[in-house]
This record gives sequence, C-alpha cells and structure tokens, in this order.
Amino acid sequence: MNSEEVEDLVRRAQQGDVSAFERLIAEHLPIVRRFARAFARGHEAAADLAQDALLKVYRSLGGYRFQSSFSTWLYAIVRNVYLDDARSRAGRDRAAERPLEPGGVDADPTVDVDAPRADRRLEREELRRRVWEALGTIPGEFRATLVLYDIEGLTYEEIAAIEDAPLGTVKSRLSRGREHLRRVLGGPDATRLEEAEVAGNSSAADLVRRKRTEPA
Amino acid sequence: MSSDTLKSILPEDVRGVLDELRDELPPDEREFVARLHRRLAAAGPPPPPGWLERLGAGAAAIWQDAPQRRSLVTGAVLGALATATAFLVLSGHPLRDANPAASPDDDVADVDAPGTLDPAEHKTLRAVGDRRIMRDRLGDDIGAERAERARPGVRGGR
Repeated sequence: MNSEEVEDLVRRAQQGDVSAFERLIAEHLPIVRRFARAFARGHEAAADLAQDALLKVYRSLGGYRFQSSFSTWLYAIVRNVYLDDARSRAGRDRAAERPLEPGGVDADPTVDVDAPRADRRLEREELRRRVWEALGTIPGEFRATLVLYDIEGLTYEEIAAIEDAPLGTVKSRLSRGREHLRRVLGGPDATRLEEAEVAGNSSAADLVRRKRTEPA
Repeated sequence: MSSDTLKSILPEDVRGVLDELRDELPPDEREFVARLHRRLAAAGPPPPPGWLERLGAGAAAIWQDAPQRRSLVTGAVLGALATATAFLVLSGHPLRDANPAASPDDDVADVDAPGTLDPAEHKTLRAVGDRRIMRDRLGDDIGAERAERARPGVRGGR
C-alpha cells in the first residue's frame, strides 16, 4: 500500500468510514494480535486486548497528523494500551499469581515431554507454550521491545520510533528482556558467568560453566 | 553490541521458537474481524481532536520540524516574559504586598510589624481592614481625623 493510498484511507477513516479503517489495519492485524498474545493469558484474552487496542486506535484517528508513518503511530498506541493493561492487571494479579522460579514454567501435564518417544512436534509445541508463558513474566517495556524485535522482526529504528525512545534504550530493553526470558526458561546462568569473568575469577567462571554442562 | 551477540544469550531452541512465532497466525481470524467490525460501527466516527490536542500537535510540529524554529520559539517566549516583567517593574505595580516593616517610621508599620501584636490580634486587625493609618503618603498626620470618624454599627458612636 503506497503512502497516497494510506493517506486517502486515513482521511476516509477519520470521517467515520469503517471499511477504510479495516483496510488500513488489515496488514497489521497479525502483528497486533501476536503482540497482544504476549500481554494476555490465552488466545481469548489476547483477542479481547487486541480489539480494545484497535478500537482505541480508531477513536484516536482524529489526532493522527501524518507526522510519522501510520504503522509507527498504530503500534505506538497499541503498545501503550497493552502496557496500560499490563500495569493495571499487575496489581490485581500479583496476589493470585504463582511465583515463577527459574526454569519453573510448569509443563503441561497432558504432554509427557520426558517420555523417550515424545514427538518432536509436541516438544516444540510445549516449548512454544513455555516461551509464551515466560514472555508474560517479563516487565512490560522489555517484553514489548523483545516481541517487536525478536518475534516481529522490526528494526531498532522502527522500535525506537514506536517507543519514542533513543536507540540505546531500545537495545538495553531488548538485552534485559532476553536476559529475563533466559532466566525464566532456565537457560545458562550468563549473569553469574559474566560476573565471574569480569572479576577475573576464571576458576569461578569455569565452575559455573561446568555446573551448566553437568547432567541434572 | 550487535543483535546476534544480544540474541546469543538465549538458548538456540528458544531462538528458534521466537523465529517460529512470527509465522504463527492467531486463531479465529474471521470471528475476530467480524466482532471488530461490529464494535467499530457501534463506536461511530472518531471524534475530532480537541483544541488542546490541536495546540499540542501544533507545538510538537514546530518543535520537531525544524531545529532553527526551536530557538525562534524559545526566544519569543523568553522575550515575552522579559517584556512583561519590565512593564511590571516600570509601572510601579507591586509584585507583592509591600513589606510594612521596611519603613519603621510609619505607624502602619508599627502596628503590623512582627512582634508588635500577637498573631491572633494581628490577623483580626488585618481581616476587618482596620489598619489604623495615621499618616498619608506625604507624611501628614491624619490619625486625628480618622479617630473622630463615626463608624456605623459601633455602639456609642457620635
């Protein structure tokens, strides 16, 4: 869709043309919905959240002044809606939430991943489920950056425009998001390893490495 | 730090899953679109931006579009502030209540000076406006005239 077409659709949508708005957002729907998936528990909640975000985009359309690309503007609003929702839910859910220990994302009891004949596909499905769940535990701002970069494949510059933040901040959020994800999924203890290496304590670093490779 | 270096802190299988998630299509797309359509239609046309939003957008546009305009706007704002301050000073308009304690010869100053009256009495005098001005601006004694003036509602007056 070229820029003239987008501009025309935006102007029509600003006048209340719902079909123009639907055409505008059609190509962004999968990203908006996957993005929502990282901020909601389950597909249904994600769909509700995505709907709310898109409705907010529609209501805010009168304020769009073509100062940035439509997609940047749209994702910025969507991201804010998701972050606001995550913040408001965080307080309510904190008491009810189970603490998530490193490597402690529970396995689905219906899926026996330890069985020797476990299907590769099932394992993959299980890992996907764990990754979605682990994503949900990452602080909102890091999570948004991680999803936009690692899953949706946006560039640092695009994310910086969406988040209205410098490139350095985006890289830092991405790094911290990945570190959090790795910790939750029970990956190698990179922080302790780095600490030991930075301190010049090679024996401690070796110990951490050995501990990683040892069978449980 | 390159993105590959950053990403390498994740286990390989997790990296693979993150790449796969990009191709994952959310379920019930038709239902989602139909429900969204209903909600959009019910919402009516998007409201036009209010004056505050338009003002903000205009200011943001000026601020973002051209860096040379920023100095222009900053200069205009500072100039307006300086001009307003200069006018206030030159017109002799007091920026705040004059400090009575600054002129110790004045009787008003004596009455209002801190420590002359206790706080409650001081407040009462100021509240009813009964500041017993004994001298005018030229320094003439007007205290006697003022003392003889009848005050309505005061028992035993005149």
